[in-house]
Amino acid sequence: MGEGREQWNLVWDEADAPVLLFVRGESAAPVYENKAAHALGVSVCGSDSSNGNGCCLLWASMSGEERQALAREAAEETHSTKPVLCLIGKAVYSAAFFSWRGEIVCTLQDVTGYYQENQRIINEAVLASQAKTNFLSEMSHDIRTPMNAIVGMTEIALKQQHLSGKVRECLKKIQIASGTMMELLNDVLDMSRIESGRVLLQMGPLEIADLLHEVLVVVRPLAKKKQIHFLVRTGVIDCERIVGDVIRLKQICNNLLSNAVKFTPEGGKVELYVEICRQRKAERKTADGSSAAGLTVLDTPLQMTLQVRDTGIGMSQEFLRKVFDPFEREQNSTVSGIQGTGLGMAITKNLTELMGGSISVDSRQGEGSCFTVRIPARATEEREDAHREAFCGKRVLVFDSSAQRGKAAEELLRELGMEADCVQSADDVVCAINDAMFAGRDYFAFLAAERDPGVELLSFLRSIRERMGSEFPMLLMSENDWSQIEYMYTSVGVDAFIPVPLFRSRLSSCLFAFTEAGRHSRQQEEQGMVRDFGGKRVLLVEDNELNREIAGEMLEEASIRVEMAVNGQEAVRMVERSAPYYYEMILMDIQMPVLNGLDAARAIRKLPREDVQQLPIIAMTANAFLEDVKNSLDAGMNAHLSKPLDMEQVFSCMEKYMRRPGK
Amino acid sequence: MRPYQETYVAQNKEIRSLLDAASMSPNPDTTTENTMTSGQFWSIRRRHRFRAQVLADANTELLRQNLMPVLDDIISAPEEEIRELDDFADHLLVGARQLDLVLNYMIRAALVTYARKWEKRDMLIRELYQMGMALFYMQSTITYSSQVLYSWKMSLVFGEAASYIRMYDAIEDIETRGYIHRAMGNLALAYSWNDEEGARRKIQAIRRSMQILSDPVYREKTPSLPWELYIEKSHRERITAMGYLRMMGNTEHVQDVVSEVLESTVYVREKELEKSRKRGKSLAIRWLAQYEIAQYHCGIFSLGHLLGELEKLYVKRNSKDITFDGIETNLFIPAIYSQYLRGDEALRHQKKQVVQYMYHGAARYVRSMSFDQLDAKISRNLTEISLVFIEYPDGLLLKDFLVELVASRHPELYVEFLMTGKLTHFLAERIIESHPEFLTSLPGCESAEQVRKQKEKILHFAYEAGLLAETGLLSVTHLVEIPVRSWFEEEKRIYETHVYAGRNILAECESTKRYAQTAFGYHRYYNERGGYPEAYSRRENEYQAITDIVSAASCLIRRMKRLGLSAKYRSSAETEQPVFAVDFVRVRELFSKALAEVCAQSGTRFSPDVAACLAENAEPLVPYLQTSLQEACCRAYEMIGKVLEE
Repeated sequence: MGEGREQWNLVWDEADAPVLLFVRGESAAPVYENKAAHALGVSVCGSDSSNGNGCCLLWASMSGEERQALAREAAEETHSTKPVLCLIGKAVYSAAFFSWRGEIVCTLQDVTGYYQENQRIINEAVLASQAKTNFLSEMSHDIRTPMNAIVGMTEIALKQQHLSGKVRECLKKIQIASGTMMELLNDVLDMSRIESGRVLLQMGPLEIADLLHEVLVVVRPLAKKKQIHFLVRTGVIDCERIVGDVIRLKQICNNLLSNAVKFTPEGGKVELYVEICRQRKAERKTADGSSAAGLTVLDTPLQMTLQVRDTGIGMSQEFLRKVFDPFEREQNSTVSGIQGTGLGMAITKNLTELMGGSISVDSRQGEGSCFTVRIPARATEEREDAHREAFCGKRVLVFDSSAQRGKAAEELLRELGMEADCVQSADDVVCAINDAMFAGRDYFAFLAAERDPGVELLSFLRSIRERMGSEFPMLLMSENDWSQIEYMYTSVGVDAFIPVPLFRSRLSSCLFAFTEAGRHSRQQEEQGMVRDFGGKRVLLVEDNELNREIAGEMLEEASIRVEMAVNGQEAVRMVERSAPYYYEMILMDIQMPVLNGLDAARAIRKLPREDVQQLPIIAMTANAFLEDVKNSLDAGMNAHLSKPLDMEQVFSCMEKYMRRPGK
Repeated sequence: MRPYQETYVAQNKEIRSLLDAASMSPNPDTTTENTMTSGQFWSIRRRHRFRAQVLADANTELLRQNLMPVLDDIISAPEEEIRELDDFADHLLVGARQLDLVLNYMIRAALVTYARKWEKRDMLIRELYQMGMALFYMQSTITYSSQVLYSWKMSLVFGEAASYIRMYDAIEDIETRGYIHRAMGNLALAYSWNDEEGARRKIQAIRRSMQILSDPVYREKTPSLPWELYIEKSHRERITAMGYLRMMGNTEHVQDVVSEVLESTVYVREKELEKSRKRGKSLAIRWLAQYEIAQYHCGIFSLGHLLGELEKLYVKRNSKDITFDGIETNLFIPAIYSQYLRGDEALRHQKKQVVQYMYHGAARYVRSMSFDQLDAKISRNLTEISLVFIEYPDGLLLKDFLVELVASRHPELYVEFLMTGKLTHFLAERIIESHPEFLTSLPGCESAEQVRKQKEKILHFAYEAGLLAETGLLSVTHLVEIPVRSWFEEEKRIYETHVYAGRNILAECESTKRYAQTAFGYHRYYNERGGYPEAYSRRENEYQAITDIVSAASCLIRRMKRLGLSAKYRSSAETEQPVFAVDFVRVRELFSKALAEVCAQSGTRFSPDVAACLAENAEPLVPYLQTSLQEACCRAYEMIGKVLEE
């Protein structure tokens, strides 16, 4: 080493670039620095370099493993994937390491200019990204406004009687397509909101049956179109009503499933597995490690698992590392023709993590992928127990060609307190009906599965209806969208539809409706549901003429007297000039010319009249985000309705806030 | 009946009479079938067929104009109309004699709707029962296909009619009460002996029915009902379990059934004996055979002993007897003998000579009949033998039995078989010459060179595949041979089961099993998006290339035949040339039209290669078809009455 070191000194002492020498595996401090390094102030003195500067600080601050890795790379003359930069004084140096006779040589290069240029570009990019986020947020109102017209007009058109089947079908498709368009729009907006950390979850009770059905209605036709075998499996479902953000959960499911369908070739297979189970005791440790004993069933934490497995094109190991990064798409010829923003997985991951969950992926190129999402959930009150009395002693006949599916239905029915017989063929159904009749134990209801019945189902159900009479409840279990098959099946006597996979709560509420108690309660509900808004006067404040027309027509259909203002200022003036208690409610748009809705609401509340303090002001805006709601409430409004307006929500809001007669 | 209904029934009968073999003698006093030439035979045949077609068209129009509007609005039909409809339906199906089974079913279904709507309880019970009977006969027509199309519905309607037993006391009409009991008994008809579950249900239904029939309470309530007859019918139905016992063998599963079957056999035997005594005759061989079979299943003696007893009964036959009993002995005994023998390898070898003797005996029996003595019953019995046929390497082969004996009983069908075979052969030969690659998917033909080397084998195979492709039609001859009007959807469904029957018949024997897939799939489209049956898979048929040729050939022949029956060609009905439904002189024209139809479906229904081959060879095909047709007609005529060579 001694002779070598002399030679070394000769070579490096006068070099322009700062050079340091470290002994591999020994002290973190350099054993040699050349003149340039010395001039730079990089010192060899002392092994504690915590107060030092530059390269020795860099070497010393590395962990043993990092130093080993660097030494290995240097010895093998492989390039480190990470650039090593160090700040010495005000200059930025790039450190390069290489091996020399078992020792590590470090050379420093001044890259201050390059670094500053890079920083400038990064700052510009960040600014541009922020501008894009702002732009997208700003655009949300403008993009959603015309959608309001499309959705609203479609809703009005669908309410018209005497529509031809074809027109109704077209309108329904417009309704679905406009919904999808809104979702697409939301995707882009969501990403911008996620990036700026402004996404807030809207937690509420949700039925897992409804959630799945709504997801499957969208995904199944996509799979069918590509002749993909789509399968839904449910595991343990400890609780069907949970607390969660239904919209975001749907979004997660839709993203995963639509991706699976998109990247699975024709004839492939996509499977969705759903499980909601109570977390085991061992998993139920509180943050401080103590046991969570004493929790009630409702308090018991649940874990929802959604797994989407496909036999699609799969992903390379390289791409798997960045599958959840925004705008990342696998770059190969197989996917080049497939459309997408590359945002879906990033949104999914962010939403999952926002819910406190996790997402993982397992994939092999050419074999398929499997995404697993695990989200903690909380149970809500189970309701079906209320129906047990009505179900007691009732027998249901289940017809499903799959013994396994039939058995599952049978078990659910038994859990609900009913008796059930499950049969697999049309012959068996008739035989069971005959036997029941001879034994004097008639069935209460008949549940038929639509899938692979092994018989011409429509003709069969018609015959059963004829045989059993018009009062006998006959229900269809189907994977299809009821609206698509409703006409066909109701025409042969099917009373109702239960989506598959079956859930206890859905089965319960559906069958309950046909019990005596159910019929009675429905009658009562129907009586109660007759809305009487006759004589009520509402001020509708909306700058968009078309939206005004739509909302006006819908309200008038419910016998509401509607007066209109085209901006906030006009609205304030109309309220000011009206007699006390003249208006029962104000429906107020937010973004309007002259005076916006928020300021108009503030102005109305400030009017020197007692009645305006109680006058319900309901905000209407396409910006249906939580902070918008907050802004509305801060401005003195009572509630917020998201556009496009859902009339059911409008009416229930009116029922809630309108003054009672006499007040 | 209303006048149109009377006309329909009369025309229907005339059609049957025209197409019945018995009508073949142009002048019974001077000419018999023995002295008739082939030309005369076909001339009469064609004239009758043309006349029948005219009547069938008229029948269709009668129903369209008069019946359909009533059925479409059955709810508002006046009561008198309903009574006449009921009467009309009665005439269409008298017991098992079927003048128009499907129409009967449609009318019954409409009457059920009417009765249900107006809450006419007694009428509803009666019509449900009648509808169930129509369904039973419809299911019976497709027995050989093993398809079950009407059972659940039969069970549903009989079950509904029977369910009124809960309101027995409220029903005053005696006849209606009778229908309730009959419906309950007939519930057993809805279940099949072909599977364990069906058999279990059938036995259960019979037990339930007999329990009620034996209940003194019901007898006291309605003493005037023919209770003994009902019980006898139930016993007779229970005897049909013999088929199930044959299928299951003497296993534990059937032990509880066996004793009941024996009880019923003894019961029915006693009844038959009593009837025979009254008539001064000995007991029919059928009942003697049933008795022996029941004893075998009860373990009283062995299979060898049973076969010996059946042989003794067979020896007692009168081979000139063409009555029901004669047919039973000459054809039924060989059928059940084969069925029992098939399950026992050792006995099969031992009894080879007996089996061969019985088959030749059956052939001689059928051949000894004049053409006008042949009827549907003979055909049915022959088809039943085909289904359980036993082949020996140097013995009679099923394919010969089928074609030369069974199919030749239906001359037009026989000509169709031969023509399809010949056309398939012709096309295969041309394809081997010009486009051998098409056949390289055949076993042992991996290259064009090998195809050429195997030419003779391939051509032989192609001919037989074409010849036997339509074997299944033998199960639905009542539909294809005697068209009394345009078909309803239901008839189409029944007709389409023939591919299953064809496969079932051919799959069982060595000489025919290679053709089973062709008989199953020749109606399925080339692109697998149409035709039937959907269960057929091209990939599972190693002879698919030949099936593609058969598919086009059989369709072309059928189209020519159908076009030849159209009104346009009926004017030439008086031509004295020997014809097979189509007029020889018009073969060119008919061929061109049929060819155009086939070519229009190239790539969808038919293989483009086969369609192209047909089109390329259109010119030589015309004279080829003319000659083949003439030969086939002569051959068909010769086969009538010819004894199958031993």
